[in-house]
Amino acid sequence: MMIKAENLKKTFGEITAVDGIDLEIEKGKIVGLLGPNGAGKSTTISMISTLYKPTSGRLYFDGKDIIKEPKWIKPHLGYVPQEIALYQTLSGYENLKYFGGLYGLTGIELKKRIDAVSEIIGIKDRLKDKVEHYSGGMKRRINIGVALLHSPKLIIMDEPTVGIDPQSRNHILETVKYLNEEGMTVIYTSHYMEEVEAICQSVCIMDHGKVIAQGSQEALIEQSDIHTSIHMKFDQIIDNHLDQFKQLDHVMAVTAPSKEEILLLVSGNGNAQKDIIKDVMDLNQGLLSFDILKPNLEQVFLKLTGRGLRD
Amino acid sequence: MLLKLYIKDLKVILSDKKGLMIFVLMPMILTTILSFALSGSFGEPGKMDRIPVAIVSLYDKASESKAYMETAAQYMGDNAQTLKNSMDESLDFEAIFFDTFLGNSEIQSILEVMKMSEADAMAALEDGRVKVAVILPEGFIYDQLVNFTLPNRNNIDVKVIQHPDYSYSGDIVESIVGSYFDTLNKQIVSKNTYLEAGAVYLDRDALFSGMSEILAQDNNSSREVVNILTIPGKRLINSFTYYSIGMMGMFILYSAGYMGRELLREKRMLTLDRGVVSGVHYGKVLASKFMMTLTVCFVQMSVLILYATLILGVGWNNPIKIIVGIFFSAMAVSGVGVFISAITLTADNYRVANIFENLLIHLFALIGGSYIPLDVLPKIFLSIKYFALNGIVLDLFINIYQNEGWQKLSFYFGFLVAITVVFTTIAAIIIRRKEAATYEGFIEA
Repeated sequence: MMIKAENLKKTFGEITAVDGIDLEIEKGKIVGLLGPNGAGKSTTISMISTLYKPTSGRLYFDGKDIIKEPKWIKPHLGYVPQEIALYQTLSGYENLKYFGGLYGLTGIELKKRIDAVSEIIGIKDRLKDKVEHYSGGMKRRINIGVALLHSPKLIIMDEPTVGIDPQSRNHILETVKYLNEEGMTVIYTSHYMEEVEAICQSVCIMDHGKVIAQGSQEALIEQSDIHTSIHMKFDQIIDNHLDQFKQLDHVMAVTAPSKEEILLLVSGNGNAQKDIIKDVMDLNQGLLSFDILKPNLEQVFLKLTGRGLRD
Repeated sequence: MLLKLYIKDLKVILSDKKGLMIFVLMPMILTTILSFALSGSFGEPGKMDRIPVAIVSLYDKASESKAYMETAAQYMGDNAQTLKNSMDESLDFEAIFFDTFLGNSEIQSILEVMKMSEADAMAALEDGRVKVAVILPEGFIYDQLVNFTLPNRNNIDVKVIQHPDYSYSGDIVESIVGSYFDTLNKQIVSKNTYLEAGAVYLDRDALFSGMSEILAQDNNSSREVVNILTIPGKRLINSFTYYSIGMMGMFILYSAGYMGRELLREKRMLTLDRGVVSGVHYGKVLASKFMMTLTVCFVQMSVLILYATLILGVGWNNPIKIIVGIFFSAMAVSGVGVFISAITLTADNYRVANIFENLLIHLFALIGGSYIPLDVLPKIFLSIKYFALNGIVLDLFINIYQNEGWQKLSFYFGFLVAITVVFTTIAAIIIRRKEAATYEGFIEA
């Protein structure tokens, strides 16, 4: 495990921001950290980043206790804050140079890393411009670039795509995937579920300071007990034949959104869904089209927290 | 690491046009405006402490009265004695000056007059018992009698000697003495008009013998002169000198306020967090801010002194003392700056920096004498002026301007070093405690 937290807790006065969580982050994975506002994600990130010292619990990086010795993680950690943590009146190049220097990079080595990072984030031709003149997307990219200069083993990205255009968002997501392919472990928080679904191999859902679910997306969906639905459209009135559909194998429930439509809640895997469609066609009721609605992370999140991710 | 932080801080401030305007342009503008606007006397009578003034009489009333009678007799013959007898009281210029003029209640509310010998007056000036000495020259009585009754006018060279620390008191006294002669001049003009008119319409005998010859002279060629001087060895401090130092002392305080803001701004922008994640300690951040303030302040003061020298004509004469003075002043400002930074960072809001910039700097400017010279304010201000950093800087640079020795200047250097040490130490303690609160006191599960 690259990161392992045991009974990790952080309180601010009377408020318990993180309430004794256990967390494991595998090396080489992109892990999505999800939770509604106030769930404790940022505090958890801050503790891993050594910005906050936990009130209690244990926190390990590559097996080393980073609460007692934060220096173990610092050289290997890239931190991308939610805000644009850059000097706006300095150029992109000056920002990269400064932060690279803080990690001990100098001279030709620093220049090479700036070249490499600016290539990755796709901003090489605008490096001499002041950050305040960049678009939101470019600022976000430099914000990420700063965290990559020292080739960290672990990068923490706190909502790196907030407030930017789809093109820049796509570029950032591609960058994250590329970094992961290069062997970097990524902790990724976002308010956009589709981003997490697209790039994260593992997900950790937090609420009220606790980890309420953790694992691969498939495992979480499986554990959540949310079933697949099949939405069907017919060329004739069908709502008076609902009993026929209820008797089909693997069908758990049937509803009729309109006279020509039905929604089947089904159990089982893909083969079961195939069987149901075949059976419906055999009924010869004039099936026009069907959609298989698989459960997604959003539904899992909603079920677990009772709130949407952006609530 | 520290050098990297320092270079970054310098780059950030150099890219901040608004900040640079406040640091450099504003004091230049204010110095110029205040210097011109307040180049003369100012202040409201009755609202200030009375100015202690030594009056030195170098004339001999009896012999000068006698000499006048001899001169007047040449013009008027027997009429001279008749005129003297008939106007005995109104021509007693000693009584007019001391009793009528200086004894006037309004003048008394401004001046505290003490008659002294010249030597006593100079000694009193040196030790600060009086702020100004007025020297009434030899011939003071004779020349006034001549000017007042005869067609010709003689120079009356009154000297106003001021202590260099109390330049505005000198200006006030100069104005008051000048107003005495202004009043006298009006009467002399009336007299001249009368004599001129009389020469046309009256019998010559009715006027004074020889008057025609006197009337032909240019009686406007001479006048009473009031010379502003200072104690020998001391240089006169005019408004340009005073305000170039006063404004410099005030505006360097903005560097300290800026520092407080800058650190919290970095915290809010999370660039500080980024630094901390990379392994930078708060102590180094603070040290960098100290060095940055020192640099900014040093440049700021140097530019202002250059401006005062080249544009306002302030004659600085000892560059080494100036550089040393700037260095110690900048150190003290940097100490105050890191103190404000530490408090602002810990409080996590701009309130402290706001209070410092919007209230305390102006209060310090007042009690330190940056706005108004303290000698025209109640005495209490003189006793509290060193509570304001700008007050110390102002006194230091006035002493440097006076080319005082290193021994005298070392008092101010010591004061500034003490401020640096005290405030920097407090800042270090605050930051240490903050770091401890963030990353110490861990409770094992």
